[in-house]
Amino acid sequence: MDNLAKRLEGQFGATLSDHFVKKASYNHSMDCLEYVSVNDITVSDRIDDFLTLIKSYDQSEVVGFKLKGFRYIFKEIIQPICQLDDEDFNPLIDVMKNLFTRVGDDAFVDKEKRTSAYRLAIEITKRDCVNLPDNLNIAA
Amino acid sequence: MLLRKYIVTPSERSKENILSFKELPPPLAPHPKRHGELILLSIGGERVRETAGLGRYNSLFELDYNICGVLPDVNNIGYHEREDNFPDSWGGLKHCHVIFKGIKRPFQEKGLDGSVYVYVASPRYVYKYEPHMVCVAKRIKAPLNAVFATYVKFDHNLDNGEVISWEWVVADKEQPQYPENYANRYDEKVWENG
Repeated sequence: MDNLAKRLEGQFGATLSDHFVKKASYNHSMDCLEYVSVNDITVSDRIDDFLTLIKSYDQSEVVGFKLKGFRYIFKEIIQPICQLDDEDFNPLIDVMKNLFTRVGDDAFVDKEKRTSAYRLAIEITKRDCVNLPDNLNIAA
Repeated sequence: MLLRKYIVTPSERSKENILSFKELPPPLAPHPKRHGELILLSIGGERVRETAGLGRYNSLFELDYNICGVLPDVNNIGYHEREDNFPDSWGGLKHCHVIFKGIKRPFQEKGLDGSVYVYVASPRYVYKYEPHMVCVAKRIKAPLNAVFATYVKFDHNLDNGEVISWEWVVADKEQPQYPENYANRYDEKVWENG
C-alpha cells in the first residue's frame, strides 16, 4: 500500500491508516454522519430523507448507518432558536460523532459479542446436558 | 560541500518519497447538460481524507477503478486475475448510463440539495481489499441488485464539477439500472445514454 499511501498524502494531504477504524465520521461535503462496522464493500439502502442503512456486499445484513442533514438542521432550526454562530457547528458535530460511535459500537460490535456468547452458552448447555427451567427465556 | 550533494537527509528522503507519487487522473464523465460532451471532473479531498484516515481501502479502490478508471495503485495488481481477462475496460465514470440532478434531502442549507448531480453506473467489477502477501486488491463481481452512484457538485455554469462522494446503492426493482425509488429521491433525470 506504499504507492497508494504516497499518492494520498501527496495529492490529497491524506494519511492512510494501516488498519480499519470503526468510528463515526462526518462528511461536510455530503452533510452526513456515517458509521460503518466492516472493512468491506457495502451497499447503501436509503430509508428516507434522514436515514440510510449501510448493508453488507450481499445485502443480507445491516453493517452501518448514515444520518443526513445535520448542517441543514443546525442552520435552519437550531441556529435561529439558540442564537448560535457558524463556529458552534464543529464542536456540536464532534459530540455527535462520539455519540454515534458509541451507538454504532452498541448496535454492531456488542451485538456480535452478545450473539456469539449466547451461541456458546447454548452449545455448552447442549454438550453438558444442562436442564434449563421451562420458564427461562433465552434471546436467540 | 561536494559530498553534501550526495547525502540525502531523512527529512529530504521523506519529502522525496511524497513527491514521487503517481497522481490519480481526473475522472472523465459525460457533461450533465451538454449532450455528447465529456467533462474532466476534480476529486474533492474531504471524502478521500476521511476514507483514508478510517482505513476504508475498498472505498479508495472504488475511487481509483470505478470513478477514475485506473487500477488500484497497489503492488502486483492483476495477480489474482492472472488467469482471467485483465486488465478490463469496465472502470471509470465515463461508463455511467444516467445522471440525476438534486438529491431531495436536508443538505447543508435550503436549496443546496438541488446542486448535487448523481452519476449512476453499473460496472461489472469492483476491487476488494484482500489481506494477501502478494496483492491486496482483488477484482470481484459488482454487488448484485446494486448500482454505483457518484455524487458531483457543479458550479453555477456547469463548467466545473467536483466528485464529493460515492457509494453502491440498492437498485430499483422495476428499473434495475436506476437507484431504488429514483422517481422520488431525485429532482430530475438530466441525461441518459442512448
